[in-house]
Amino acid sequence: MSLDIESYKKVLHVDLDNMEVVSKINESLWQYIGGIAVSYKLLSDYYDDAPIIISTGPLAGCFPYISKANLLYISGDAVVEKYGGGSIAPLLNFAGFDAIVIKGDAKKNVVIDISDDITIEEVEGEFDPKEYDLTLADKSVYSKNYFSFGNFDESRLGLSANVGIKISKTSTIDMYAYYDYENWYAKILDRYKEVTVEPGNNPSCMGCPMGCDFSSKGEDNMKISVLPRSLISCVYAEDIYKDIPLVFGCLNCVGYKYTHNHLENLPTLFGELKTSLNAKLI
Amino acid sequence: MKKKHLTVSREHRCIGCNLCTLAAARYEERKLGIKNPVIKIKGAPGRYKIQIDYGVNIKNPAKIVNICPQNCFDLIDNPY
Repeated sequence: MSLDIESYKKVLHVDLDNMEVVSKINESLWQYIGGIAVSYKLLSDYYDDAPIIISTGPLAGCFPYISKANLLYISGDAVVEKYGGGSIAPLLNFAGFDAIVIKGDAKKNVVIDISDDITIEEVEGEFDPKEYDLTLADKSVYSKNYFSFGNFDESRLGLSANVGIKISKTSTIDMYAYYDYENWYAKILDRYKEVTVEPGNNPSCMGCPMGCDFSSKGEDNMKISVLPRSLISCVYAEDIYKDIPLVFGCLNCVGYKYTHNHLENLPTLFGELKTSLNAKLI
Repeated sequence: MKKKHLTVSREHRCIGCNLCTLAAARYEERKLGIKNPVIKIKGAPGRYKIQIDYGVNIKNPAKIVNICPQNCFDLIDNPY
């Protein structure tokens, strides 16, 4: 089985109140490419449910330095935007999902298992965060209990129990343009000097060779361009992934049929989304 | 030419980046992903284990050795 890289995005909807999970295809999300732009669109669409959105980028796991996931939610009267690494973004992408929308609250710890069947179950007994690709709690979000999504002291998630997400089954993407892909991959790997962080020996995000000192830390309050945040590159690799021809090449060799116009129009689209969401908040 | 085999000589250095897993899928199957991988990274941050499926003939072991940022792999001559 291979993933369909068609002109739609797949979203997993989780309802913690009714303990339901539904996978939906959303055709209007495609123009937003992924990451923060997709998260904002989903938050705007499901604003009344006050959801927690987790999104990944279309290239997560396919290229280096691009393995972050986005967490977007409303706390008080502000939209809170957090980023974290680990395994969740590439696995979610390889499982064929672009985002997860979580609404409601659960009284007991809950596990969502993305496998052949997607299941949601309450956990009796001990909840071990190490077992999950993503663990959400009221004051913390971790991937594999190591890769943090930042500090939640001032902007809590509003969850009464832990929510663990486990991705047990993934698919593969057929390589439509193998030699183009290898060419782009080698070019990006060679641009490691442009990554503004020193390589280290720390546990690394999936698909990133750096193992830097900041791999376990979340990315809060870092203002970077919309395109890298839509692909969800690491903040330290912003210079690489704001290069439109490079991103265009990478997306196309993996099979996405985005054009230069799609990439160039993204900041405008995102700006409109943000303005309309801010208007709702006021 | 004598066939070289891939071996994990420095597993303690592994940072769990999965570049080897992803590269094995690319070079061996021309696919992107980590489904049924030839090389599997197990364990948790700080104590990873690298598992190679020796039942599969790895055609490009040198590429796997080269891609590892922590130099965990080596190539050895077939001992048999």
